[in-house]
Amino acid sequence: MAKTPSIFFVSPCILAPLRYIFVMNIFKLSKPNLWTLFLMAAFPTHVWTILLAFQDFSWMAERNNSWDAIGVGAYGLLAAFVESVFVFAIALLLSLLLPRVWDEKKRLVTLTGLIFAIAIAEILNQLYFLMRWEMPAGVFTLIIHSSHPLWYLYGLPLFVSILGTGLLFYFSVVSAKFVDGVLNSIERLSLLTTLYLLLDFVGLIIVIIRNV
Amino acid sequence: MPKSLHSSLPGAESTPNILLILFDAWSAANLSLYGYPRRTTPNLERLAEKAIVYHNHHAGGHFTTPGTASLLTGTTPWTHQAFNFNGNVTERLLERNLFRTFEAYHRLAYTHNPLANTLLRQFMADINDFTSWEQLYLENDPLINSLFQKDYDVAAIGWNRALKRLDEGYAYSLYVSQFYETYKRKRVEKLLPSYPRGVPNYDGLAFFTLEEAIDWVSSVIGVAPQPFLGYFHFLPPHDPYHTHIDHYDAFNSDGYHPASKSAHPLRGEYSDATIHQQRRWYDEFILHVDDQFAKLYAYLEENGKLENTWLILTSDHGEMFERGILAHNQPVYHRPIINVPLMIFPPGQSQRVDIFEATSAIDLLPTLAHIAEQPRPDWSEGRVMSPFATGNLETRDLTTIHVQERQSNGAVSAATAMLIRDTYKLMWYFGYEQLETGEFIELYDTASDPEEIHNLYPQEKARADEILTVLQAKLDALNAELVG
Repeated sequence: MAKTPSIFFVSPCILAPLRYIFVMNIFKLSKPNLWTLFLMAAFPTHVWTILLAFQDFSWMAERNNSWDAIGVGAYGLLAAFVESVFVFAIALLLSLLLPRVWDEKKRLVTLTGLIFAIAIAEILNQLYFLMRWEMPAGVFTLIIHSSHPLWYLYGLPLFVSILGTGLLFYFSVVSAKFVDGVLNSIERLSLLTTLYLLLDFVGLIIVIIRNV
Repeated sequence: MPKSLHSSLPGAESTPNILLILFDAWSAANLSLYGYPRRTTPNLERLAEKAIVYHNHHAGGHFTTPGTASLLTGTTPWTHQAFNFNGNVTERLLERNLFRTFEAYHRLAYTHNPLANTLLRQFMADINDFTSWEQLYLENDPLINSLFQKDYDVAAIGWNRALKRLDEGYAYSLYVSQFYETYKRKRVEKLLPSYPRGVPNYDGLAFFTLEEAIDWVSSVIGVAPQPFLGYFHFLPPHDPYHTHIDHYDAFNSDGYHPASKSAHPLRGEYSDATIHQQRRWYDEFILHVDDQFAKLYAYLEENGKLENTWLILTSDHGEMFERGILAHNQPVYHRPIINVPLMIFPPGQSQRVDIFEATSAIDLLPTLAHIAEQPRPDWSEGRVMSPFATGNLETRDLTTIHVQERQSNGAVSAATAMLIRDTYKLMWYFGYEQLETGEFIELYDTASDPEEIHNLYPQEKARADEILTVLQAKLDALNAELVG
């Protein structure tokens, strides 16, 4: 008996979610806006990767050579692409929590805002170590001598996050000017991120060449 | 080769394998096999009944780079010039190495130690089966290993930079690195019950277990094409001294106190209590090494591998817990640093042979070539050791150098040089900031003072000057090369 090609078993696994996304439109986003959301998910991860890869270049070139240093950057870009897909998937899941009555523009602006807010928080977190920032001694002493130091350490960032997200939702609902402004920025960043995706492609070619 | 050894080789017509096992920072001074009061090597003592035991074997240097380079090239640091941290051997030695000598063999190599890995990478053209250092660490990702086999080293660095935050606190990845770190930390934490002082690691950055490494070696040599030359260099008992729970606190409150020795001018800022505690932890880690080597030996014996394999056990340098010096961070060549174990297990050997003559890491390459009936490399500065050497061995000087600093023109400005002549050992330190007069000299008669307590330099200046003249000439020659 002829063996059935495994693609027939795999394809339902791939096609079923795609059908949900595109045909049934459960996320309430058109194909172009889904692509834009993906680009917005990819933007912060790529900016951060490229910045750090440039910073590592001289160290790696000195340790090995320039071609290896480019190689490290290429692997980094591939990892950034994979991470972008994860962020995009999570953003899509979060979109299910948004009010169904919201139009596409509001959904895109809110989700992009969330992605950027989390990315900026994480970049600041890593910059703290990268730039060797130090908490001002006065603030440090204040937290230590307070009756609830953990509340200050974890509660304050939580409060800022909730406030930020709340403001984002608020302006997305009440201010058309805010929505248009963000959409305008999204359009510009999309072009830049497309360039980053081209770099991903170059990175992929470099990785293939290095492994042939 | 002596007849008794040669005739003990079953199936002498077939080419035997060479299996070189090296444990890093393993001092002969701390092995009960060589008379250390703490019983750190019960298994080696038992296995020594079937081995040639070298009692006066010297490493090539005081840390991994020069020590391993001497062993792999059969030359002293004066010649291979791998003095710097993570340094390479000089280019003219690239085709003069242990692996090239065994060209007809299937050659395998692995090390836990990144510094030794740098040296092995230099000789990769002569190694058939090179396994990169990260592969036996818990952080190693099999996916990267299988996907990017041909570019593993750079792929692993790229992967690490993307996902590992480590102590630096930042990575290319903004989000996944958070989860990845948590996952990896949990994996290491799972092993903590077996390692109460922490899981063995390299510099606190990457974690491994010796058990896993020994199991891996067993599996690799089990299927390696014959004959093979295997070089396996494991990190334990290198610091941090995180022994297995089976040996945890084995020497706690045993009342052992080593001989007191005056502080060295290049000492670190360590209290006696710290040094004493670290010595105990080190000794307990040696117990673990002893245990794991016995496990490997049992595997080889049970599978008949020892019938056609020369097994060699040694180290790249020692470790020190005296004179205010801890581990091997200071450039000195006292006995605990420079004297390392060497045991050779010939195939089918059934009796113990003890060798007391002074031998060196540079002798291993010509000796292995000799016992495997390979052409003896004329570029090696070592010689065939007893009991394999024919005729009486002439007396010779054993010497090494560590270059701490160089001038802008390349000339050596701060260094430690050592020369052993007969029973006398001289160490010459110059150019170090800590030295008030810019120079410090130690001379010991190791026959009457094996603990190197009484510095004879003030009384035996004539003897010292004779040795210093030799060292000065060698230094001049080295400078001529470095400046040129």
